Amino acid sequence: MFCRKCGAELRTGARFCGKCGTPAPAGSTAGKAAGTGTGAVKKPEEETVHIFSSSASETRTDTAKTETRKEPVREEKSPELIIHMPETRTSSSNGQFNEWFSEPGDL
Amino acid sequence: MALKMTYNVDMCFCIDATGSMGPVISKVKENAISFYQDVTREMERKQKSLDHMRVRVIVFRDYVADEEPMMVSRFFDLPAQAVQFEACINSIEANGGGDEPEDGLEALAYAIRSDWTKEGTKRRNIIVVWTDASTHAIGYAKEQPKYPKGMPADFNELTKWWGDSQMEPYIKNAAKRLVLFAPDAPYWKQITSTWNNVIHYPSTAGKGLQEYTYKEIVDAICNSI
Repeated sequence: MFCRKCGAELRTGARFCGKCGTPAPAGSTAGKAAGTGTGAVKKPEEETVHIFSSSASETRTDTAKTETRKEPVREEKSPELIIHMPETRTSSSNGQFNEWFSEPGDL
Repeated sequence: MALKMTYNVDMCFCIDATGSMGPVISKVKENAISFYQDVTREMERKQKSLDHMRVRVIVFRDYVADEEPMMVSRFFDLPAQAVQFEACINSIEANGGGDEPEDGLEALAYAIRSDWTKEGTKRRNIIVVWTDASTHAIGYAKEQPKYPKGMPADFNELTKWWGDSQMEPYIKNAAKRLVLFAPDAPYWKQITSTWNNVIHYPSTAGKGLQEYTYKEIVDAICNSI
């Protein structure tokens, strides 16, 4: 699976492209909430990061759970596996944008 | 002593806010608070002065790929509402976009239909489009749920909306200016070659308008007044 925005290869189970932050298509993640698949991160409340091992296909059977990894993943994994959750796009920053902008409606 | 011309200026910024536009959006954010002063200073150099200035922002992306493909702000009076304008600009984040073309023509349609000021004898209605991408044909995404009713059916109709010396349905011919920071790509090229009162500053596709400094952008806008 490749990022539809920048073309970077997406890791199995990645919810976002590690290079440009574009949400991955729904089919690339197991257990992703029915979502938009669009550029906007609409669920900032999902703060738990689901890390799927690329070699552990058995994790797909537990997609509803938050898996706690025993080994220190971050030190071993390349930057691409650090899921890009743009922290600035909290509900407050979305709220700020929506304070100034609105959908324009019909012409 | 040369007489200074005094202008009532409305500006509408159409900003492509897809991921690659991060650099220029950052540049705009850094300078938003001083934008009015910068424009005023440049105008003074040209023996012109601003009687009244308003700015609004349209943020566009892609109707197919994005949750927020088109978002618009109100007009901000400058300098009185400079703080609010800065907050508005700072709330914009560059992300999203699907395929390379974005929906810039729909943004341009909304810009043309802005609630332009009717005050003052020397008016300028300036639309500034900032994008590093080509544009879909207008109506490309008309099947999308968020696609609005009332959009021009095709490029010819959008051209009519822009008008000419004989016809000015939505924006006064003498007042209008279109400043285009966009690649030399279809539709942007046609606009440059066939619409009047257009200034095109070519950008490199996908590069976030990094080839232009903030000063060059301000100069370009002021040259259009």
